[in-house]
Amino acid sequence: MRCIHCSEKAVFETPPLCKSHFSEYFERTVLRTINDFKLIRKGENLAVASSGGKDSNVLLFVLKKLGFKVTALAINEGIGGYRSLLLDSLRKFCLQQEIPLKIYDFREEYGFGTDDIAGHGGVCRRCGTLRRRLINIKAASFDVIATGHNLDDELQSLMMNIVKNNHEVAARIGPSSGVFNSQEAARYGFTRRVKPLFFLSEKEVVIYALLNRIPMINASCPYSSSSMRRHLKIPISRMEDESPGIKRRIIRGFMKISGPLKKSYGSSRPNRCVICGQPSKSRICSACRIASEIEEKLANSH
Amino acid sequence: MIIAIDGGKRRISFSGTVRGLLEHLSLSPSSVVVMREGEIVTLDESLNNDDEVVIMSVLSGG
Repeated sequence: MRCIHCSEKAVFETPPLCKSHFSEYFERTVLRTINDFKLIRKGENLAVASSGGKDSNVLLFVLKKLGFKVTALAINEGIGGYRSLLLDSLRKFCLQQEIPLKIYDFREEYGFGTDDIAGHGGVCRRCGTLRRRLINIKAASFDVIATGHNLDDELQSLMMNIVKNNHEVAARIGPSSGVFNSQEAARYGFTRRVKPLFFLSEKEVVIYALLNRIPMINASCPYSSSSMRRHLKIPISRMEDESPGIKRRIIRGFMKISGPLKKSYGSSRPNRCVICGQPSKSRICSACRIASEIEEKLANSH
Repeated sequence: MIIAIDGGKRRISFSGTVRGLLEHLSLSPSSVVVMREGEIVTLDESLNNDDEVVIMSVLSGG
């Protein structure tokens, strides 16, 4: 198979692109997403929520290459033998790329790590909520928080929220995310959350990482094996095999109806959690509720 | 053919396209990247029985 733009050997099929035209296509898609959805303005300070995994490493690399000012913010949530591997790799990568890196620890911030709450049910939901809250707090001095969510992540989230009857949450899926949209976040002084890789598939992210020698650590979170998200990955891939481009068509199709859907739930009233001051739909945010439940359970189990 | 997959290596007898190899292994083409001699190969490329290929899953485990 040959590249549609030149006679070089293709490294990607849909459409056939060679190494250099694939990287060009990838970077153009990121820039187009940023411009079309007004995700980042010129000169803004970006915090990239970094896990040490391929998606956030690619995001750091591509945003820096496109001329944005990036800082990597990472959370060590205390999952032994998993996060330490990724964080070691992230330290080396940031040093090599001359990207500032800041790491924050669950045990220092909350008094417990994710390993301590395993067995109490809903580990992924609790860990994810607490990670998001910590990133929000630590990124308060930045203009934007960029996350490495890709097309596959977003399609899985959409399907999960529909299956779980969380239609209001599903309606918020888009390149600009969070409890509030970009305009609301700016108006009320919250840091915006954006997803520049929103229209790029996991396979495209891996190919870009391989072509640009971006580190990818082969490690799986020990708590993800039972998550619904994991169970959705293979059927979604099979669907893409049968009908190439279907993932992007579903997400683009959904974007056309998500605006009216969001409006049908009424405008979100911007609240701050009375405990931590972070954006919340209710008086106390879900992270603070989770943290206090865990503290209580851990205290009772001692 | 030697296949490196999921951190392990195995030998199988196979000649044909990359797509054929993935079908033979019951793997979804959208969920993997296949490499030969460090270079990414597309689904239509031919593989010989003496090739050594790496099959990398693109589905993150996090």
